[in-house]
Amino acid sequence: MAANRNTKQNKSGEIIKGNFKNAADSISSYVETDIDMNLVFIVLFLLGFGLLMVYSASSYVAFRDFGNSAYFFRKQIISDLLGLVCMVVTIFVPLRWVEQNKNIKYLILALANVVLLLVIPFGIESHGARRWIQIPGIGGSLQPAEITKLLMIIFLAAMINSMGNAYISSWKGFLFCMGAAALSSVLLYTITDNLSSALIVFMIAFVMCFVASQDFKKYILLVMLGLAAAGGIVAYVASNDSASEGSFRLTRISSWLHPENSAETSAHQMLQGLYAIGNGGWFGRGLGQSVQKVSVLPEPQNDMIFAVICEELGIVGAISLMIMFALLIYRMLIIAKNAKDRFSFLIVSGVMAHFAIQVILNIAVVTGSIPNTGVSLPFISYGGSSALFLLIEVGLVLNIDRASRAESRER
Amino acid sequence: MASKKKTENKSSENKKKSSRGTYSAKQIRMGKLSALFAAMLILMVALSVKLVMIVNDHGEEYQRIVLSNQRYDSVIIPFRRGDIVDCKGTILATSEKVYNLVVDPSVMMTYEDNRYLEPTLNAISACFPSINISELRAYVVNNETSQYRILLKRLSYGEISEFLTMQENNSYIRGVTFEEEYRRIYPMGTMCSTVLGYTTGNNNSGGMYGLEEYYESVLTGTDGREYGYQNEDATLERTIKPAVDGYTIHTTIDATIQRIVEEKLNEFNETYKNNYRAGNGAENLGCIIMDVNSGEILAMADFPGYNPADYMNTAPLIGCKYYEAVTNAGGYTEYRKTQDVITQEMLDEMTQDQINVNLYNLWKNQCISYTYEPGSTAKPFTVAAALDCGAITGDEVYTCNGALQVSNYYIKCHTYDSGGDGVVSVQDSIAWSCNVALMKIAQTLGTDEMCKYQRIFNLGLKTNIDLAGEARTDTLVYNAKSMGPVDLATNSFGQNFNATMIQMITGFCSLINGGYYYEPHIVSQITDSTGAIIQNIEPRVLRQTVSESVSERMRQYCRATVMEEGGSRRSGRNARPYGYAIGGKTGTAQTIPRETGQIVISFMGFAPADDPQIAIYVVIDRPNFAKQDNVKYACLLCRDILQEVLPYMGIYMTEPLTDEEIRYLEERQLENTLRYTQGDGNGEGGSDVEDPYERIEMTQITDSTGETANVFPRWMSYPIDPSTGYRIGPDGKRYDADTGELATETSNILDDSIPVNDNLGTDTVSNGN
Repeated sequence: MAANRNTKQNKSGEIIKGNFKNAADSISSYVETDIDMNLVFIVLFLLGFGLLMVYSASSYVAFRDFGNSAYFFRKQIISDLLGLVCMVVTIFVPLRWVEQNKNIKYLILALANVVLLLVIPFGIESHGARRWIQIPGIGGSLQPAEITKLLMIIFLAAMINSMGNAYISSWKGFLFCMGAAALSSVLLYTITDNLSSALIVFMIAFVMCFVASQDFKKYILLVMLGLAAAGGIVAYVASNDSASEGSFRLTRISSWLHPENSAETSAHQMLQGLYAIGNGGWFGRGLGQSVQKVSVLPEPQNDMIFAVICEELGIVGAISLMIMFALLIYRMLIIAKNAKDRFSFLIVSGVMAHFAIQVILNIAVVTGSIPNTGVSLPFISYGGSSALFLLIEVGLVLNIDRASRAESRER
Repeated sequence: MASKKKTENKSSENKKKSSRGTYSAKQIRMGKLSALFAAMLILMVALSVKLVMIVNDHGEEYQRIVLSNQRYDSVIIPFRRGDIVDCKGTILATSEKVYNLVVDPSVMMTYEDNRYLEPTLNAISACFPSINISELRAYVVNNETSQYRILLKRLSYGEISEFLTMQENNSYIRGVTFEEEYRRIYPMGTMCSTVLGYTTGNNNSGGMYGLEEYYESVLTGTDGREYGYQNEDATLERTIKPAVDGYTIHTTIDATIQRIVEEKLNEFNETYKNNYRAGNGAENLGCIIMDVNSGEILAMADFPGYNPADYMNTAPLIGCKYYEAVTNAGGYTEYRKTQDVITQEMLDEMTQDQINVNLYNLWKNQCISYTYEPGSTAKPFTVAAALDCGAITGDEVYTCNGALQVSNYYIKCHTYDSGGDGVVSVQDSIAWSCNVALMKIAQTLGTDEMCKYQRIFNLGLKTNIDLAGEARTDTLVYNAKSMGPVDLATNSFGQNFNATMIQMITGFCSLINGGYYYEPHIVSQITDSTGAIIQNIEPRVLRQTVSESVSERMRQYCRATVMEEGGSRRSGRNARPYGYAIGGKTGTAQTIPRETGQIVISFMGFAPADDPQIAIYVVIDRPNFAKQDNVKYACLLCRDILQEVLPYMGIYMTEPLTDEEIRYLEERQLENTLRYTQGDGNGEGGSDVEDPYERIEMTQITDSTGETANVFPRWMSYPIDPSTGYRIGPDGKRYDADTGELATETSNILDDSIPVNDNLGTDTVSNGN
């Protein structure tokens, strides 16, 4: 079976060889390692920059609330170091057994949902939602939603891989994968009340299905339908102000449409973010000089950290950060292209989708382009679980990169 | 996210397929992934454009908002307004720290499991039952971002201590702070109100009237501030600049004397309110007690007072004359007294502006701001001036036929109806209060000297007492050019010029203390909040008014007015407190217009007669009697005050007491004792005590008939003249309707034909002063 795939791989490998061999060779020969050091460097840069910004954004709040201005910084640095260890370990974990064993993917799917169910008995509440579970013994807590995202990427890659091109291109195969993703999304939304994570899981699945299938018509149709539905909800809220009073989600849409009408409540965060951007201007007020992070901007180290970056480093700094994210994803695109098999390719695609979706959604929220959903900025926002599992995802990508390099070297 | 990219992609893929045949699955998925990456880049560019748009379109506006939103976490620490204490250290006005209950919903809602909300609300509801908890809960839940809302104001420490204890024991009680503030309190209630004044605003500043206004800059301190700022490490630093508390002022007021005086004024009002007409016992009641040898004010009171802590309360206005605001010919607003008496019904209908006009009048200290024609109490000034400048020697003898012709006017003496005083010595001219003798003395003195001495006695000038609101009287007196012979004549016995009570008593003190005119003052010392002395205010002699020898004569003349030396016609005989020898002078002044019979009666005296310590001045403006010219009531009021004040001051009795006087004093003693042992003086113990006025009436009956009191006196059968209120005997003589006393003073000394200073008119108060 392995030999079979190898031949397949060789066929397609020869076709792309001409385009990418030079690039891949030049990198590996220059760096003299088994992995893509460009990606590693970008990740380390983002982590370092994230720590810097977390400290800058949170030190005032941390001192005010905990008496220690490095409170959030210290917790984040521990998570990041733990995440890096996990990432390195992940690089050397063989992935083959996941695609070789037919049933292991169902175990992964079950696990992705069970961690969510664990919230019901073991969940702890914070910031008004039950999203964390306590890890016994070490006193830390985990956000199961992040585990679910990771596991769903692995499950969907394995599932789609086992389906074959024709099947996944059909409605039946598509609906099966999306159904599995929808189950996790529903659990995320109902149990942890986390709409943004539910949407992210659903969108990752959608992207992975799209990438894997030979077909594109139904995706265009579905995207159109989705956009129409979103537009319809917005139009409904816009035309009917009183409709938004009942629901917290609809209120957020309403406050996005009319931030000035509800300056003191749900639009507060968004407006203060916009003020921060405006205050920063092109070149920013200087690192550490944000005014808005001092008690006006709620939780500046979390979802709104991009606003603090804009205020302190200006548009120039913000766009530079966006370029770093684009480079990160570009490196993953290269790795996907070099991936030795369909399963590896799909995993890298899923991770790419995960990063891209979170970056775009976070910045869109901060700039007031979409209603506030509560998406964190990868590697930059404060959050241990997010950093840990994103680093594991990077570890998966590097693992695949290592495998494909090893293979190309063998050849 | 994945919208545009597909449309572009699909067309290119289709082209490739048709031209080059089928792509492998891997090519397709790599193409799709690249397309998605391109879409992501497009979206990032779009977001960058959005960022640029925000900065370009709203950058300045948002910068402004951010700057205006900046809250440098700084708190004002209020200063404490200084106390006002009396000469013994009794607190007349003080500031008490109070606390405003402030809730911070953003703290209560920090965690959305609401771990702080319920414990905090429970504690609030347990300690502050007046707060509607369900309303508060709704407010907190709906205003998570709010950080400041005052729920209750001005709680005392006692009211919040329970909550503070709960807060200390339960760390889940969060988001409640107590903002400090000061409240001005006046422990004595209405006592001393018009001397003290009140404070507006935060009760910390904004002193109005009296000492609070005059010593505003001394009493106020400087607010402190607690600054919060970010240091270089972006952590919050706090520095405290402490508040500087205001200084305490030590007054010369003696709270006990002040209490006695105010009690007697109240008693007078209680006795005579609604007596003849509706309203208070008098339109104005005032009394000043002054240290003769330093100008220190020991007591200063007017009636009605008010409670400075509740200065907008209109209850004290009831019974006062109604003032209305009118625009005069000059276009200025002035307040004019009407003949209406304020009732509760009137108050209910009055607008706030109308109420304010009347409150202005209430808040004024009538002892320094009310000007009136002093009447016969001015006679000692005229005589002293004549003696001092040598116009008379004191050995002159005058003849009084009941009236004197001056120019074309016929100015009467109060004894006009009984044919005049006859032969009058200089002493008798004061003791009997003879107008004719005074007019003759004034004629000897001349207008130049008269006006010069009026200035020497400070008439027409401010005394500069350290109280806000002293009236100007410069236009209310004559000068040497404007004073005509008739004015000279009327001025000699205190008519046709206006003065304030403080001017009269301060000048009078100089007449009897050897001629030293002390600047009247009410504050003797200023200390800071720790008690360190900032300033001592020593008595200040402004000038020598008369020589010591003249002063000695004046003491003698004034003693004769009250004591036996004055003979049976002495006008001030009722003013003598039992057991004491005092000196003094009565005053019965007509007001303008003359024919209405509206009188200001007064008594100005000093005690003891041989070694003057204190001077007292009692003024009853338009008493609520049918016949207002009975100066006896002013004398009796003065006597009642002195009867208690002199023993309190440790001044011993020098005169023998009759059995009757001893009995009276013992009853008063009992009454005072009962008041403090049984609480309310109006209880059963008090009712047995003889009314002092009633008792005098009985004495007079015995005196006038020479028989026992149960014989029906003859004068009681005489008819009462409705216009004057006197009984008219068959010989044309007038008798007091209540006591049968022969009328000694005549109300219509002056009539409307006699010219007066155009500026006089005590019922109109200019807006400014």
